[in-house]
Amino acid sequence: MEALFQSMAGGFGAALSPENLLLCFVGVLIGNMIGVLPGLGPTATLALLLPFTSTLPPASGLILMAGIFYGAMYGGSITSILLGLPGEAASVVTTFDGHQMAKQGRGGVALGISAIGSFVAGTVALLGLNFLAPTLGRFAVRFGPPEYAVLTALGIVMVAYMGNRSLGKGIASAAFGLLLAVIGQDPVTGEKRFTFGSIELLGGLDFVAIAMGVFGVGEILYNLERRSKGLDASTVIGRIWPSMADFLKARWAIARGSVVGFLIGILPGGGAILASVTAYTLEKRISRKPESFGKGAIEGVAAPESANNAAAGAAFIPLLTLGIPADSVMALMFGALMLNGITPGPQLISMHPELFWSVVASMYIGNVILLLLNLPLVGLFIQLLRIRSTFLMPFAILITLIGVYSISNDGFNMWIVLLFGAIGYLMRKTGFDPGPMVIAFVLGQILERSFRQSLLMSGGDLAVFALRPISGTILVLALAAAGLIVVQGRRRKRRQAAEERDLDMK
Amino acid sequence: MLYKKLDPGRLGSLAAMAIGLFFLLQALKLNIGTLSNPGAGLWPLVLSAVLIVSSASSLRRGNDAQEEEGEGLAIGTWHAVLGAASIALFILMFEHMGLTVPSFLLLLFWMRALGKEQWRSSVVAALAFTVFSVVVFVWGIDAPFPDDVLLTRVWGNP
Repeated sequence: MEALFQSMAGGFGAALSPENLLLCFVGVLIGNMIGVLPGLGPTATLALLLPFTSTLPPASGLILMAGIFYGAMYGGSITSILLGLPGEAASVVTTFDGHQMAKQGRGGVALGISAIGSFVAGTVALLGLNFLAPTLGRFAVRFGPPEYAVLTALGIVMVAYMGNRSLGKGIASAAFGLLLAVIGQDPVTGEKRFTFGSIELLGGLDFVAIAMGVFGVGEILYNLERRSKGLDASTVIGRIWPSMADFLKARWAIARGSVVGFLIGILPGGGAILASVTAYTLEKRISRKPESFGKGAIEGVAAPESANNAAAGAAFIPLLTLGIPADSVMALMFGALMLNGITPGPQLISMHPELFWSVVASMYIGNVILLLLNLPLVGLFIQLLRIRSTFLMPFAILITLIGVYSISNDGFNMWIVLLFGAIGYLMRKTGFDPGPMVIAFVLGQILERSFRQSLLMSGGDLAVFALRPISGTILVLALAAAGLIVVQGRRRKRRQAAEERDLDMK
Repeated sequence: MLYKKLDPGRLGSLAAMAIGLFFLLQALKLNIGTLSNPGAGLWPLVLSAVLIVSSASSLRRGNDAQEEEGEGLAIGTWHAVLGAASIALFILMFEHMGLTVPSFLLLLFWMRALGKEQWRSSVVAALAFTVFSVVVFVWGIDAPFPDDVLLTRVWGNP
């Protein structure tokens, strides 16, 4: 234990030097600014800025990277809440309630709770990383394809279930998303699937284009129709900071979100998406007023935001101890570490302890700076909303199209945005929830690959998912949770029916 | 009577089933394989089946209680179509003319025609946003856009 604290102290000592503090601050600021641009979420932002980190000495480069990481993650949340444009997959869930809150004039509150929740969750995750990294690494290595398959399947089912609309349509939406993920090359055999001879489709559809189309353009087109006088003026700006009441309401959501996010983030294949989905679903099912979710419930923002930050922090554990990145953001961090001359893996802590601990220390610092920087800036971001939506929405569309163009430097993705804008519009009109489709698309590739590998491993035996200890446990827990939900739902319906009967009798 | 049965909710379910059928047929063209040796087509086959079944099951319910009544064609739908068409036009123009001119026109169209803003504020805002985009994306991030009709005339080829 003493050695642990000594190493931590060393890490903090290195990280707290004036130059490094400044670097961290700059990283957070720039990461924030670029992450805010719709179409450029954390992944794209990191990809853009990481090359700069290699010009610095390793410890400083890592500190800059940590700053950019936190800044970019939060920037994605800003656009999710204020504009309803998720910067990346993990922010999709935030748009459900966060954007509703912005429309109700509570955008500042949503941003504030998001910042606070992210900070708390980040701290929880870092403490976990700090004290549990070596032990947890050993557990994570036992994950194989069946575990990945079960986890992602669970995530998708949860998303389909958590929509406010019919379950059948939720599943249909998810199935459609999974089918979209099939487009491209078969992950195992390399065959072309559903490409219809197009070269661009060979690499598969791009998530950002789909998400921007469905949530950005689609939502704007839908709003265009509903207000036949044209786009309406933006609503009254209310509070800028969350009140004590808001915070008290959200505190358990933050706590639960942090824990859930951390646990899921550690699992390889977990990642921020699954974490935010799970936390949101959990909050909604636990809540006494589940109907308020999707309409601007503050817990609906606090939970996924905390969860995805906790998961992002926790995802560093498999990254640093095993060299396994949990999602695309982590893959970029992996690349950044390599650029800085560090090979993540089991030997990292033992052979380069000072580097490991300075990464951890700089993450703590980045977390704090994020909070200090963003809470005051919330007011500034809100001012952006004052611009009437008739001006803001076309600008958002333009930025989206440009941002998406820069993914592949050709117009193909712009057409995808438009196409999915139309699809999103039609889905909303016909009562299909676009959320499950988008999230299923992201998880789909992992799911299929894991599913097929599992079948190959077991020789076609479907029982493998139940028989392996870890995946079996996950399945049992999931069934237990599902059972609880069904029982709760029945009890609630019986109570409601009884209440109605009482009212009738009076 | 027929209209009631064919509300947008049900139309959507039918469309979803049709999409599922399309993917199903495409999947059958691929090698399905067996459970112990899954081929490329097995997974999409399963998914298409799920899509068809789940949308079929939603067919009975039709429009949810939460949905608005009579989401048929209205002037708003026309606006949405125009909006989508303007984006298509933008993309086409962008690929040939670069960033500045199509951006300005797109913004202007949305603000003036769809948003019903005044001419002066629309032009000013469209100009401002276009300049901002150019500064950030061309000068700042140096994204390789198609050759810009306007900028190359003013500044020569970058």
